[in-house]
Amino acid sequence: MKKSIIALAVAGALTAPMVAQADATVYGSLRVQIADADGAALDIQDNTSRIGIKATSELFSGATAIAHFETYANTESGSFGTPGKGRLAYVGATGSYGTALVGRQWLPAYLWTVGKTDIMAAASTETTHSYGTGGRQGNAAAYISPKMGGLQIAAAVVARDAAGVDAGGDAGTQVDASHLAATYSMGGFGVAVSTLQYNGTVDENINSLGVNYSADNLYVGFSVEDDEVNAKGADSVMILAGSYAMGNTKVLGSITDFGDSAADVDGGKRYVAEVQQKLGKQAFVFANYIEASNKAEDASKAVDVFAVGYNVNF
Amino acid sequence: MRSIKRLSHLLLLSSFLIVSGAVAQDQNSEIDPWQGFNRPVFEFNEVLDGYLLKPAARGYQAVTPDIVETGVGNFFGNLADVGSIVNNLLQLKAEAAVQDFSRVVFNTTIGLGGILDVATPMGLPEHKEDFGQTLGYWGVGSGPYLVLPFLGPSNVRDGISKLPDSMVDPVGEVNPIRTRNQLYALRIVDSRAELLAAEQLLNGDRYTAIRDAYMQRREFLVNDGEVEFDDDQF
Repeated sequence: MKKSIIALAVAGALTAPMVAQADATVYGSLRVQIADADGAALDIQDNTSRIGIKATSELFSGATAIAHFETYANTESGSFGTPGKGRLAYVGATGSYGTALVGRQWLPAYLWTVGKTDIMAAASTETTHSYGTGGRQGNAAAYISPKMGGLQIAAAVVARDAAGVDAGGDAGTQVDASHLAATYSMGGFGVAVSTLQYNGTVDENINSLGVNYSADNLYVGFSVEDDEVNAKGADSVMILAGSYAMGNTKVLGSITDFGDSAADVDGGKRYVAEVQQKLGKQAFVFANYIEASNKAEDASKAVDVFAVGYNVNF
Repeated sequence: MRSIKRLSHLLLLSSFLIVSGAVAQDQNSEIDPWQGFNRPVFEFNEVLDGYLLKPAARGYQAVTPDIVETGVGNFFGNLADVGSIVNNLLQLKAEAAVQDFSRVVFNTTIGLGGILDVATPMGLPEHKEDFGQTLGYWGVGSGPYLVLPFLGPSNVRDGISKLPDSMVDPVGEVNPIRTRNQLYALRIVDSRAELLAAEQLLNGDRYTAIRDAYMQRREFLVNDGEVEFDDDQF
């Protein structure tokens, strides 16, 4: 009898705080690949593995509070994160008015535009885009509208107290940026534009456009990005990518035109082919081949790489 | 996978034995008008097989552990998938071509050069296609039965197709020539060893049995397993 009372008391003590807890989900993706890159030794390497926690809880107003943390889970060292650098860490709220987020987050500059062509599993295919300045941004506050007949707009600011010098030689003590983006989708068609205006330590802009079309198992995406922050005076980088799924098999391909550098040196082209094979709902293997043109190799934009990898999500 | 192959061989031969009794003599002359040439060549091949190939295949099977034999079969099966990719494309079978391409990629890398067939359990079935099947797919008839010296049973369409097939055979690209020839020899012995169990079902006139089994199997492959039977065959 006494045991029952104690057990009830213990259960009560444990369930009381549970009621107040947010609905949290632990998730992750461990990704390992074997890569044979031109000019490098065969390497079994991490392929941007990550682990995170997503949580939501209801607010009195009826809106939903959001908390999201995600960091690298390095499969080479077995360590979390990279010193001084994580992936996502933001809080916010979402409701009928849209979504407001504060903290380190993906900006629509990536998600809505160049993200349309970032479809390969091999991380080595992602070298055209600067995630540091045009992707995940810390010290950011963003507002994303609800969908209005297929149209969605976003506005964000970045305010970071950090000294430095940008690619254009501009120096300062603050990293400030304002960001506007819009995306429109109808049926399988989507188009998005973005401008990320840096003002401070970094005093250049990143403008991008993304277009995509999907029908049944076919997907085609195109993006063009003018990144004056990291390549001032250089041409825009254009990427055409596509995929076609047949059952558990998906073939993907892309062509990247790096354009001319500020010194009018042709950056060449990069061709990527990939095949992915689903092994289950949460796991797949892939083989990826990158063929870099001679000009791309000369300009250090890309090298030939063959990689085979295995992704397990949870 | 090898057991499935053997089973398919046995099933084909069994079906032949059932059907062959009902096949009329005039039909034989229709599909085999060159029997006067074919039979002597067949006899020549039989002698060659009896004194050289069959003992080699038996010896190979006796000294080779099953796991190694499977690995060798997988290795050559992976190379054959290269030709299947081309022929699936020529037959406008995009999904099969992609699956065969994926098979080659994953078996060559994860499967250690093709020795392990990792693609099949991954959900990538093989779609064996050669140029003879491609011609058949586009409506080219098989032509008369033809026994080729050293190469065995064939028909006019498949005999001619051996040339383009050899052009997409990766073994042909191997250097030095000595290694290439060793691979050719190993493949022949391995293929012959796979047929040892199946041929035990043959009885009666071996020439007729092998001819009919070959022609029916080719029709089966050209039609991707969808074979139309005549009423008088039942």
